Amino acid sequence: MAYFEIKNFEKSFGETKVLKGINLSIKKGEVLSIIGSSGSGKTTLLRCMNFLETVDSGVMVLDGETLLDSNVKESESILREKRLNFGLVFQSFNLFPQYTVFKNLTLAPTLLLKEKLAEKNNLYKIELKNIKKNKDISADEKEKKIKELSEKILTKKQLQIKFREERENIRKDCNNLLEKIGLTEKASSYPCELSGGQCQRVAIARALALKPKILCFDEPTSALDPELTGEVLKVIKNLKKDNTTMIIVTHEMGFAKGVSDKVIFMANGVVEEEGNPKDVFNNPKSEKLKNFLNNVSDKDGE
Amino acid sequence: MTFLQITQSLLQGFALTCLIFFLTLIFSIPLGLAISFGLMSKFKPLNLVLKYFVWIIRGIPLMLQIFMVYYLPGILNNGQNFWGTVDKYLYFNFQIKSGGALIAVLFSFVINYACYFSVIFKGGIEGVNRGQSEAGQVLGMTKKQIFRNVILLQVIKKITPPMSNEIITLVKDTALANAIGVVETIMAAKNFASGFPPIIWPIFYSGIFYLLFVGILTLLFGYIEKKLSFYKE
Repeated sequence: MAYFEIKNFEKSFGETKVLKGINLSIKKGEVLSIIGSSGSGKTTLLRCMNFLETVDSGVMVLDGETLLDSNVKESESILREKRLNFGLVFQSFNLFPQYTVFKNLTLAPTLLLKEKLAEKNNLYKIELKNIKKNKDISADEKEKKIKELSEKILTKKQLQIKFREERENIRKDCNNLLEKIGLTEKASSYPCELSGGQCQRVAIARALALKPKILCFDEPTSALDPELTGEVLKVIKNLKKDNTTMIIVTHEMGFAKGVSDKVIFMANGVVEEEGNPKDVFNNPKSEKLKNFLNNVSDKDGE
Repeated sequence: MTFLQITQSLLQGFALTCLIFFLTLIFSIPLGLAISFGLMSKFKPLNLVLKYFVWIIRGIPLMLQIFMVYYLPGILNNGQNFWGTVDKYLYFNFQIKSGGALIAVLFSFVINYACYFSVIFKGGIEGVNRGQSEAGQVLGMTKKQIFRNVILLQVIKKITPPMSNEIITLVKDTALANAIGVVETIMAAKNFASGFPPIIWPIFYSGIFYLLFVGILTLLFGYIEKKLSFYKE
């Protein structure tokens, strides 16, 4: 069974139909590359997966859970939760310029932790209120439950202490991530002090800090000078070794060939051809893919 | 009239100048922020109304707006002294001695400056790269968290130069209050010129008060800009 599956994604911007019924599926730990010329809808597909655009129709299933069904309208908070299944690395990094590299990594997980702790506490408080009002249970039982719950409810100070404790874990995780991308010594630098390649590596680590089930890349090397793409691609290759499930929109054909388990070629909003990288790159069937690969290799030859 | 006496009465006027300045700032910044959100809202009617409102307020001289705010309510209300009534009301109910003209001045200043600020705020907020809030969204932040933790500081950095311009202009615009008889710095100085015997030099002397005030503001904004220069985009 597929770990992640998209069925019949459709998306229009005004009159232009950008996605015309996209289907795709990957297994856990696989790397899927999406190739195709500009305007074929690759980036839009990725943005739809990450809930940055809303699809007109389609279904998305991850690990047995329906993440998206165009017939069902979800509230903003549920959407947020579902979004966390994915990480997205942007073409233009979009690091937060006013924070250090380290804070870029820790910001979102820390905010999430704070929120989760407060939420849990509030749930207990509501439960306590309900039990106090409840007249159906015996007095003994009531007292017992009230005592139990009261112990669980934290005061502001206790909450703060617990938050600090758990924040240490986030910091440890983020330090490990920095080590993984080889930028430990840049932890307290600001993004403006880094090279493009370093920025993109930080952006990858930032996405990983939230432990997404699927990591998506939107042309991660397109904004980089050629000599800087290598370091970013190396990080992605290392992630593959850790069995990270990834979806990569890319123009780096050599890289796509090397790293992917599966390649999808998109043209004009449809999946024109798909298969394992060997077949797609060495034995293209459709005319469009043949043309595309020819054009790309022409450019490489120049 | 000794130098000291004149300085003293100019300082009294200057206190009023400062009062107008600070109260205008305190009220017009939040109001300006509200208007800027309205200007960016997708709700068409609100958007349109505010657009015209800002156009009118920015399109009419502030002096004329002060006259309108001061005189129009009375004219529309059978010639009753509206602001005088407000003044009395405040005095009898809250023991606040305001001077009707001062309230009218504050009212027109707050609205006028809120409109100018709103355009600056809108530019600042829209000037932050869309990718920033998208990055926040993808990282599971709420809209509020994104605004507070990601966007706000970048907006502040962007709007500091235009805001410092506008705020320095406000210092000098407060002089317009003397059009309806509020005895601020210039009015206090003018009173000497029209006295007997007339003393002219306090009018020029009053400029020093503004210069000093603007000097302090310039230093302050320079400091803020320097503080915010720890990062580049």
